Amino acid sequence: MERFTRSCWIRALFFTVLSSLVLAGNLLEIKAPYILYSQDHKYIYACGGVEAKVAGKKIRSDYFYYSIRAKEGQATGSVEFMEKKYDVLVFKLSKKFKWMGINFGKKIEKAGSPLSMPKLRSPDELKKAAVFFEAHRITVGKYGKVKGWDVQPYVLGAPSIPLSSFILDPGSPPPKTNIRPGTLRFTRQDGAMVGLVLDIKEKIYRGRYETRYFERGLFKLSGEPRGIIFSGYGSLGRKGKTSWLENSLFYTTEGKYLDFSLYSRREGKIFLFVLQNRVSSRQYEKPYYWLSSSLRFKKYRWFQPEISLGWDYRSSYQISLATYINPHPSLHMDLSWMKNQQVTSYTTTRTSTSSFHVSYNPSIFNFSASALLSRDLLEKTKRKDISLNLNFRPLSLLQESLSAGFQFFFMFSSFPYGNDYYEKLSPGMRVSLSSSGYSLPMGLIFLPSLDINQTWERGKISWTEFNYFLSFQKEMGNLILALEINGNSRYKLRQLWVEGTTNVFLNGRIRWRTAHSSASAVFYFDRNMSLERINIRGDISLFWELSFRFFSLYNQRLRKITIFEGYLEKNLRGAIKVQLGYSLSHKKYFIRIIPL
Amino acid sequence: MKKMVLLFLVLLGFISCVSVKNLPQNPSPYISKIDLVKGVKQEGERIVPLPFKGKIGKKPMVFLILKNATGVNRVKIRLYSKKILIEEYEISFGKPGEYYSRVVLWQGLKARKKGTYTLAIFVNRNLLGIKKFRIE
Repeated sequence: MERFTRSCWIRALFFTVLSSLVLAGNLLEIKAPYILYSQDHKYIYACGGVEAKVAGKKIRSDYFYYSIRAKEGQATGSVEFMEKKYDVLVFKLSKKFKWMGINFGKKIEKAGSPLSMPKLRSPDELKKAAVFFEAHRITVGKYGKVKGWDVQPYVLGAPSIPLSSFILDPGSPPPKTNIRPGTLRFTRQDGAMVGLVLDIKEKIYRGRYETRYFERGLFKLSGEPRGIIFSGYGSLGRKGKTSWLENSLFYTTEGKYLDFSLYSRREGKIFLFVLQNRVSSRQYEKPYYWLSSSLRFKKYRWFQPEISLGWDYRSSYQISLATYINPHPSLHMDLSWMKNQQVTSYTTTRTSTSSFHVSYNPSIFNFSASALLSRDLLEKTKRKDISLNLNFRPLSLLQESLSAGFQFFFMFSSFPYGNDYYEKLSPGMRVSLSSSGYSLPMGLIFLPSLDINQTWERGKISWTEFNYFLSFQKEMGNLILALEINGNSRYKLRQLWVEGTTNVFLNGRIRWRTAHSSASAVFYFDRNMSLERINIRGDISLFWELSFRFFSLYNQRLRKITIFEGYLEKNLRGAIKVQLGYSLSHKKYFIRIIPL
Repeated sequence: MKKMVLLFLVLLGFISCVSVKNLPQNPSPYISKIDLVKGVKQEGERIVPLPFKGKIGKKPMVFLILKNATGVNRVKIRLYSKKILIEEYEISFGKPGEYYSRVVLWQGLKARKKGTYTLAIFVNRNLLGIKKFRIE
């Protein structure tokens, strides 16, 4: 009997130690006759004699709500906490455990720290999730890991196989160096892909590197049958401070492509220094190296000159001097000069480029001018580009129902053309009129807009362009009917001769829209006003957050549907999108899994 | 093939060691909606709330949907202004042993001045819901 009692004690002690080890690090533990956990909302609801342990403190209540994302919760109905009774207990678990107890008697009496009431989610709302679980006991870990006991999973509202214990959510990885599974997907482009992630979270180095294996050969997909992709990035420097050195790396066995770059940025009160090195190579091609650095003088906000140097360790180089001058918030100037030499296996280019840009934006108009002069130092040729733009802010006329905009521009360019230079000089102006709509009888809305462009080429040939758009709309509840007339005319005046073309197109549009669904059909007519094609598309919300999307194009000349694609779409946990449908172009049914 | 799948499912259920009677069942009533409305109207068998267009009026009605209730239930509505109880109502519904999957309750409040108010809804002495609202 004594041996039996001793063995019972030993077993009890062993299980106590084991369970305390298992539960160590749990932020929250809930036991209740009914617990509901929604994976989409990351939310827990429990009821019926709930016993919870929050940050080591016991709470007894009839109802319990907890949001894993917000790390806040509420217990209601005969709450017992720290040997006192409350009607409501609100708590937050961000850095420190904070709580507030409320009693609704003759007065509202509060105890603890002042906290705002959390937004509660009802069981009805949680059960709308694609995947939810019912359980008797749940623990929530420090990094959002959720484990349940006596679990009844539900998928799209249908009960699945019950499980004695189950990890309902793996949570986020802990903030320390770890290796974990990474990419797991199948696409027509890459085939099957499996990855392993190395997450480095150390005091002076942080980074994420992933090794992915892809397999195309087994699925008879085009491209290299199988291979490895290694990619990642990291930064050297103390946590929470500007890093000393950053790196990024990408390597794939397909084509033996490598891209590696190092980046360092040091910023003081007067200077900003950036150093960058990039190495890139591909099979059968010469490797590419580029070392660049820049130094910016940043003492004054209105004037910040910068010198940049670039070199490929051989003959290519680049030197540039640039600054912006911003003496007034509405006046901005950019000045730059650059000398560049590029040497490749077959060609050598050496250029010198100077550019100037100014913009002035007072309240009435907007003026900008830019000039670019580029010289080819080997061929001794020049290229010039000058442009001036003056835009007036749109004027509101007829009680703001008509908006009129004016724009004047001047462009000049000169570039080598054979042994001579080709020069193009084109001043012009643009007038645009648009309306917010006029009401017509029978509930019709008329929306006109007109654009007039006038350009003079070398001052001799004159181009005039009219673009107009007229729309008649009628709204009937969720349905909008519209008739659109789109016209454009272009005329060229050469001394006394006028040449030109005019096109008028007619479209009919039917649109249906509710809060969650929409569908539209557009009827396109040709110049002879005969039906050319019909374009129909829609996005209809169904039950279980499913949506049906379709797109089709009917060609009247061929008298058949040339394009059709329709599919059911479901967004799972905000991580992947699953599409199941049919495509007429490929004449195939398809299942697409799109990572978000 | 179907038999094999069924056998597999039964085996899996057996391995999971959870019998159906041990599975969680929601035993408690819960409030799925608390709203302040202008009134209610009956459309066939349905009670439809008439919401305020914009701000809450000076004489609102508490509209409540309670789900999953069994037997006789007492719903207590308490209204507080500046943390002091100013109004209290009690509504009883249900018969012993009967189950109600959805119960719609409403209670008109007395005309009130502009200000912020707090509603506390108790079901069988347990506080199930709180709602803060503003009359403008």
